[in-house]
Amino acid sequence: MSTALVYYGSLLLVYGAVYGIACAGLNLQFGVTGVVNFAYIIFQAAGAYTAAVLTLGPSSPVSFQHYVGGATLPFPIPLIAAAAVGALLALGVGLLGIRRLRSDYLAIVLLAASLIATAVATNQDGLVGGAAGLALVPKPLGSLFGGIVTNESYNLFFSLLAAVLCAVSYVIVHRITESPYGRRCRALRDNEPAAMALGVSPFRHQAGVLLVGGALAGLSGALLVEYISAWAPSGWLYPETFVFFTALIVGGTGSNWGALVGAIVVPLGIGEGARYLPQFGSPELMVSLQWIVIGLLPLIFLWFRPQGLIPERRRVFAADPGAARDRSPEVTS
Amino acid sequence: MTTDSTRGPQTASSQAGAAGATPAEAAAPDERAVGARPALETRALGKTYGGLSAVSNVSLAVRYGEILGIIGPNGAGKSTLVGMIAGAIQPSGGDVVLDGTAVTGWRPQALAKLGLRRTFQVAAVFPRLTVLENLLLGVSEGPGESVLSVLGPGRRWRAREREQVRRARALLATFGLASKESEYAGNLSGGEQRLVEIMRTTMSEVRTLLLDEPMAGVNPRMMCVIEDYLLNLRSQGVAVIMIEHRMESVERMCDSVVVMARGEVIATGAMTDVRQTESVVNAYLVG
Amino acid sequence: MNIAIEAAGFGLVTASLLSLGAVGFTLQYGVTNVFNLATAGIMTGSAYVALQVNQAGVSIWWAMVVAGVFGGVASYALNRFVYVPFIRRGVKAFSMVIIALAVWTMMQYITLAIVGPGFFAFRLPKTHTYQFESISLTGTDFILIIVALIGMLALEAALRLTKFGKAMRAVATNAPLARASGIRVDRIIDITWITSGIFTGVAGVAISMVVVSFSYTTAGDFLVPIVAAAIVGGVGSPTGAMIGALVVGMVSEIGAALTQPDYKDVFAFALLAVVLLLRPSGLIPEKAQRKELAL
Repeated sequence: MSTALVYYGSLLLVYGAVYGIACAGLNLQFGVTGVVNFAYIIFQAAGAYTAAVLTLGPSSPVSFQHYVGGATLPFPIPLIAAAAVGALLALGVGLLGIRRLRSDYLAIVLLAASLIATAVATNQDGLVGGAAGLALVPKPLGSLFGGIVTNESYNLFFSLLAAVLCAVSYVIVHRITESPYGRRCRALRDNEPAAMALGVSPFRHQAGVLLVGGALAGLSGALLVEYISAWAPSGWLYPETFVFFTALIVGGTGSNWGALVGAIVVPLGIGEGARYLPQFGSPELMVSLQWIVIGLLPLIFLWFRPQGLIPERRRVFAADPGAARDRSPEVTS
Repeated sequence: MTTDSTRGPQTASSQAGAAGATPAEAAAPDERAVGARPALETRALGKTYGGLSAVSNVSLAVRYGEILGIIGPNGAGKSTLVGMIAGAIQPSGGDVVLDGTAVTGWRPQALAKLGLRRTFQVAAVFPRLTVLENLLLGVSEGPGESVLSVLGPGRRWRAREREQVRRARALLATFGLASKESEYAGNLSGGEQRLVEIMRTTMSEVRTLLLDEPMAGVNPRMMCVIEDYLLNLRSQGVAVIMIEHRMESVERMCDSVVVMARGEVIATGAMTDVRQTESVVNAYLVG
Repeated sequence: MNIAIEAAGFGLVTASLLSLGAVGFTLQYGVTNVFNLATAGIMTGSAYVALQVNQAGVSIWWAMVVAGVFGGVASYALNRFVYVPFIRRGVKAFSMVIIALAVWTMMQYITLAIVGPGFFAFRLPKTHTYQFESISLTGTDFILIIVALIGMLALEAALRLTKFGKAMRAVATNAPLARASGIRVDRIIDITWITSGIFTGVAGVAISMVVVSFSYTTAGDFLVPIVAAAIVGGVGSPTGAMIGALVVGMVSEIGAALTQPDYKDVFAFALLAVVLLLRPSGLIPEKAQRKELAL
């Protein structure tokens, strides 16, 4: 039975890492800098498609799936490329609207962008496989395991890979948020006119977090597609962005640990937790219940606990400037 | 226009203020001499909102080492004027010249680089940052602080940050807020937030300071501290433009005043002269 | 060219549908500044309420009236019991979008849980089909167009001539000033929601009629085009909303006919994005300055 446990455990770990990386990126954009990136899911999707296309090899006319580009690049390159694509796409899309629009208009524009992206991907058959999407994406480093990618040891390897990538992502966002750059991002979030009056450039900071957050989104998509070997538009409809925002609100906007907790509680917890409820009623009922809970959560948290499960840390500086450590241990508020 | 008549008493707090804070060092002394080119000038500055004129034809100038007051009844357009000077509002017409450079239409971040600092009518603190962090925001960005370089191993900014923390703490001590250093700025009282806002503007090299009702909501004891602090800034050559309703503060600190009503300047000059002017008296009674 | 003309005919019908929804949306958004995405949920709800009534033997037009009442009541309740408490709490404008999305998500899936994923249809009266060049419209289409037109004109008249209408416009322009002038802003906001809710309810039924068979997602598919119509026409102006609906309806139908039918929505979304980016005040400028949540 332990084999099944290993499989299920590695599934949880991988999905948790994927959602964790995605939430870290969105938290950097929204929780820390106040950028209402309602098109976030597009960047995860772009990363997934990039990684898939770069491992599937060139699209052939006789194959059942057609897409642009295509190569068979070895392990880390598709992931890196996915991150790069996510970063640049996020920068482009975000900067189109961010400078000119107030936050609710911006949210709608980005929502519309998300809808356009799904529609185009679904209907343009030669682009990324159309409605059916892409499938049979080879898993990374399969050759190291003698080409067998379905056994325990490969799964353990992949979950380890996912965990490492997740940890690295969080180290990255932590370094950013705890630096003066991160402090300026938070100032922009709290009071943009005041920050501008102090010389803080909204453009530079929003561009920076769009790049890094977009890269993380792309990375999370690549990791996911390399695990489940398939990717289709139905997997990245615009409500997925809403799920990530809910995860941040529940976990604690602005807090990196909160983002991780939110990722585990919301997309992972509700998605997987539904398995364990007794099946009553139709399948639609179960799906409805999940989404009703996801809809209810932001309302409950915004009302009763707007700071989330793990509130943003209060930054405290060491009492004695001459002491060896620059910063005293964090004191949570 | 002599400046000494409005000097406040040299209290202990102002001495501490002079010693502890280190703003306003950038310009050479001769640039700051009274009589040299103005720190800030507006020429026929105006703003209309869809047919309604909020500010029209305002020309004023303030020199380094001078405090200019802007007074007038509510709705006179004072905050709009300051907003235009600060780059937050785009003028409909006219020019703004800062330190000899035409800056009309420049954004606030660009003006900040020329040493312009401002406060807002409602104290604009960063509520989810601590008081100390708020002050640290007052320092301009240094090298090694871009998003990519903070990912690298270099920690150039740490040493600089330590120094800034020291300066900020000295400033907090001056204003009696040292105990609140790790409080969220959003939890402070209105008057305390105002103090944080003012302190923040002087954390880096301020040359021209715009204040929008700095005394509003501040308790009388703190008002003295602020007044002494501003007078101290003036003696260091900072140019100050101050919107203020509290006449005692205006009389104590301002070298000259500009009186606005219904968007226009209706009088300028020394406070003593201006308060006799009939149009000014009428504006206050009617407006 | 024939395709384009034929599409223009569809565009006219689409425009009348969008107009009903957009007029309601623009009124409510203009006055209260709340981006109520949950309007799609109310449209869906009204469609199903009308369905119950219609299946009980009542004519579709009376069912539409019932739906209008439902829409008005539901919108009022949504504002009073969900939005206002959060606004009073002091949530930011963007958080209101999240809240609206959350409410809509819940509405959508509660509807799914109750009615299931299947498709339904109204019992419609048989009407004559009129042909004009390549355009073919049924009698029902005509009635909907007329209803949309009358609704828009009535609202414009109300806004300009009645006491409540003028009060609404005052609140839309500057709520604190309106309150200071003695206007009972809370009551005006309630009336605004009820009025826009009536339009929303009627729109929900109209949409479900035209698509012939509808499900729990039908109204939601029209949400973004409705918002696009309202914003293209300039928020706060019912006439603008109708013109915006015409523009969006025509552009999306003709554009889709010339490229791919599935791209109908893409054109609407793209139009919305472009207008928001280039000219947020809309094609028919009402008033320039937008402000924060009015309360």
